[in-house]
Amino acid sequence: MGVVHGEEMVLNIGPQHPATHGVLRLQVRTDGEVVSQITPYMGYLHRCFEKHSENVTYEQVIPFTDRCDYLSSMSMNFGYVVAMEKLMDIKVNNRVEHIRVVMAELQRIASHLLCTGVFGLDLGAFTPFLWALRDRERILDLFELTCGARLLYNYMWVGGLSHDIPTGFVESTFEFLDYFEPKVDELENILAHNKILVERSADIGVMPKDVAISYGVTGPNLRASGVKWDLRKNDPYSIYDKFDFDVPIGEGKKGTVGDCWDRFYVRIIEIRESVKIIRQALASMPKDGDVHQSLPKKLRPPKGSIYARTETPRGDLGYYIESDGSPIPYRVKMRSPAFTALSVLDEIGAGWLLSDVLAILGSLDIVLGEIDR
Amino acid sequence: MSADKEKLIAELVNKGLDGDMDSVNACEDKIIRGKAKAMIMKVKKGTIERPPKPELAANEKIDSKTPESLSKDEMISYLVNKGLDGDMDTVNVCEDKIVRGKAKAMIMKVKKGTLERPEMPILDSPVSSGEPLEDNTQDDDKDTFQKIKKLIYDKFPNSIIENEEGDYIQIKPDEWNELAVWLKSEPSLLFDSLQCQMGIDIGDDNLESRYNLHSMELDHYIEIRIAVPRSDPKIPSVEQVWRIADWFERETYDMLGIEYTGHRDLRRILLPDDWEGWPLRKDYQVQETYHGIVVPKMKEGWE
Repeated sequence: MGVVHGEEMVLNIGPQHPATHGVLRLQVRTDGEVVSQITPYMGYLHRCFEKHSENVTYEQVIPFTDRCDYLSSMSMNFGYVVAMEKLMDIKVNNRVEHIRVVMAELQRIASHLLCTGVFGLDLGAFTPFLWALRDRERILDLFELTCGARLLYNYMWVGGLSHDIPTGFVESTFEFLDYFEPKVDELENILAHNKILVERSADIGVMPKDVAISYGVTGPNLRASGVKWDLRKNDPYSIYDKFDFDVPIGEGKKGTVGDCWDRFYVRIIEIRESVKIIRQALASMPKDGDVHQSLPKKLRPPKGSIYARTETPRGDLGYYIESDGSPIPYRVKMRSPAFTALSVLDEIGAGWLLSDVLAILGSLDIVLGEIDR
Repeated sequence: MSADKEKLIAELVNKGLDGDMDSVNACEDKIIRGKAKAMIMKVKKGTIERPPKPELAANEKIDSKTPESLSKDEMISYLVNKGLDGDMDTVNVCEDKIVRGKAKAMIMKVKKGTLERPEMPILDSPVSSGEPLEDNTQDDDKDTFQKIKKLIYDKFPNSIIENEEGDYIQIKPDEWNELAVWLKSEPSLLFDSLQCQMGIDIGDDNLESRYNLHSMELDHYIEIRIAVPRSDPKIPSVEQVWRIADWFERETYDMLGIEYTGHRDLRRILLPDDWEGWPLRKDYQVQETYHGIVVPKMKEGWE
């Protein structure tokens, strides 16, 4: 490859730049076109989530979690209620668990659709992005049907849900899945085996296993590096142990294990696995059960602390909650998966061409709302 | 453990396996409940056999520790004491409406100071009050935790601060870096992943840095806590042991002002470099203006 070496230059990408997926500034040192160092500057979206949480009641934290990762609000709600229910030793009934799993997996599909679509967009493919958004729109319709909101749901509550699913939801979801499954193949065909995309992403930005673990990278990014680690399987929460699904890992089909293409492709397979889970959950959902059955009158957890993790579309989401026995949290810490994913950017991005850095950033699937909190 | 308790556990396990988890959850004794739950999990996994159903008369189910045998007045004082100690759940599950109402009224009065706290009625044996987390902790996890704690103690006897309660390890900051390197490399521990690092203002002029470690290989967890005085909050950095600690420590520095010595790039991460103060400390006062812009104050009683 004919790389021209020139004078060293410092270049700012962002804060306002479409390729940074939000308000993020990358300070890049370049030698000609080769990047030698990437320093991310964030905090532009910092909304003091943790400080706010110390001033509101436990129930009032849930809408804030929505706004942290606005592309997978259901999963953020889910993580928080799982942590709180562990802390307070609340058991919810089977219907609630089933609805939660269906919502979380629909959310995973919506989030992965956006990620894969935008990854194509970053590399110059415009059409698949529109296809992905078209199908994501139908999932948002389902959410709107359920709780009235399309983006920020405040749907899962500690001990239950805000609403039961409406009449016809199960049928509409099945109908959507029947429509959607062939579309996944379509998306895969147009993107994953596209020569331009393969050239731009295979063998680029390889993240070895040990680097991924040391940097705390989780979720699809970690699995793409060949580590079979999924909290839904390895440390099942809710009722995930009841369902039959696979955990896809990167195999280096087009290049090396852990390259950008693997990180992108793992998400496509995960969409299919989520479809499997939703089908099982809808089929086995109990007909009766009150979604408000286990709602405590007042959320007042006993003194103590808990660290609980769940698997969001972006990886392990951890909540560390410290309670002093009052209705207001003493301390809430969110361990956000995108935060750790972004920290690895300098390690795997340095040494590549400037245009590759944007491909690597796109393949990590970060959401700035969650990084800055 | 007495034979009575074992019988009770066996009965709960059988109930739970038959789908009646409510009975298990309703068991007052946390230790018995925890053991029963652990056993149910094991039976489901297939590692142990289902225990035989003990033949019990119906009334024997009630553990001697539960206050069913108390008179109404005694019951009220018992509930009031429980409620004042923060265990309102016990009060709320009381089935007798009158007793419950009276107990709640009395709690309010005691809190206001118009009434003296009643004496705790003497039960056959005191009701255990463990850490709330212990309910979910299975026996296996506890064993592993004790084993890990012992291993650390053998290697770094001067670092551990003894704490009987809780499922975390409290250590001194001095040898933390060496300890961290050892935790990561010791073949029987292999803590290769730092799940979460957070800082907290625990009061009493102390700040605490907490580390949730996990071993991908061996699949076990520990939590390590290091407390430092607010006047001189210095903790050795583990940024070069687990690379993610780089950003985690920067965030804790940003929010609580804990200084991680040996960190190669310790600066604010979420707030601007010239921000004043440490927001997540409990005594934080927000600055009046920032570059001439008025900083809005947080409202009291945020709605």
